[in-house]
Amino acid sequence: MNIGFVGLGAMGMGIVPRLLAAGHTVTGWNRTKTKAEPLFKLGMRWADSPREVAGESEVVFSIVTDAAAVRSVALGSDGIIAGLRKDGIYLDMSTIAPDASRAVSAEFAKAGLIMLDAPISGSPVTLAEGKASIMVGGAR
Amino acid sequence: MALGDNGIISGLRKDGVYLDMSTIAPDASRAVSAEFAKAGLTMLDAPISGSPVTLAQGKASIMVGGDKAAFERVQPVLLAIGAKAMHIGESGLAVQMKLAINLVLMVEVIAFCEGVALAEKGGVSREVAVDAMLKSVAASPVLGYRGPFILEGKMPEVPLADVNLQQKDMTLVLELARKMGVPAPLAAAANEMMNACRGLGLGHHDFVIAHEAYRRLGGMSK
Repeated sequence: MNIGFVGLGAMGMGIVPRLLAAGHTVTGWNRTKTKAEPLFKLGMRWADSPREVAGESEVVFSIVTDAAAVRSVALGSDGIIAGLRKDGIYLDMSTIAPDASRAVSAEFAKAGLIMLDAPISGSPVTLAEGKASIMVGGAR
Repeated sequence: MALGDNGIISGLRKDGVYLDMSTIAPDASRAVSAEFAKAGLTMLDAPISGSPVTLAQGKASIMVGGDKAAFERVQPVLLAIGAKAMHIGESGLAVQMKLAINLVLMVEVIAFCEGVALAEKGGVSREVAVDAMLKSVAASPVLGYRGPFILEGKMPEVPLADVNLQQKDMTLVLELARKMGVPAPLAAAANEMMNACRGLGLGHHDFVIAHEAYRRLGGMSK
């Protein structure tokens, strides 16, 4: 599957290699490109904005620090919302307030798109062991 | 039971070993142990960690304080009771350790109750909340068997440990912490929830009933 990944911090750096190892094609974006370099060696592609990531992908993930960061990558003319295909799915894995998540989800719904909140429980250690668990809210 | 004319101390053979498995204050345990030592006898503090469930599964662990040679002699007997037998240190230190573990256990269970109530208030169903908790890294052995008790109709008639019994241990923890000058704010907060349970008339249930106390305090009456 073509997967987009926005936010390549401690968690993203752990998740992307797992997706690549499972045989998926991953296109990534991070505020600081140099931090993503280890992932290029593993075969991750790069796009110049969250919108371009979404344009390359059937499923797009984001995992960033806070609600403001989620809004900045998800919404706006360079955001995921501007590039997501009609049948694409956007999953935000960030841990943010439920109301903030619902507000972003409502923007996607207005645009006829689907966003799910999908926070991940587990540290980078749990993740590397393949033991993390993901919870999802939104359209079943 | 240990001391006096009809106590264990009066009948114990010179080469016998007395192990007290009760969860009591370290000082109280050491005082009884000192009486045995005066009489040339050996007493060990040997509290057991684990509920009746853990015990039935053969997974209980026993910690021992006191003479190490005596511990080694009784070790095979202890391993017949539970999976683990550990020598913790000098007399009284096994009950000290037991109280430290009970502190963590109780805070953990109360925190689980608090978290589930928060999830429920926002609209997560209780079944899903418990399932998600138990699949997360926050899960633990005690939450694994005790957490599901809060599901509709699953609270056992006979509690593993009711609020009153669990609060006895917590009172020992808080008193020990006070005496030694160690702050235990999380234990204190968990203990307050035990007060709330008793005030709401829930004291005879397993202490995971704190979830119901959180629900009521949070405006989620049944």
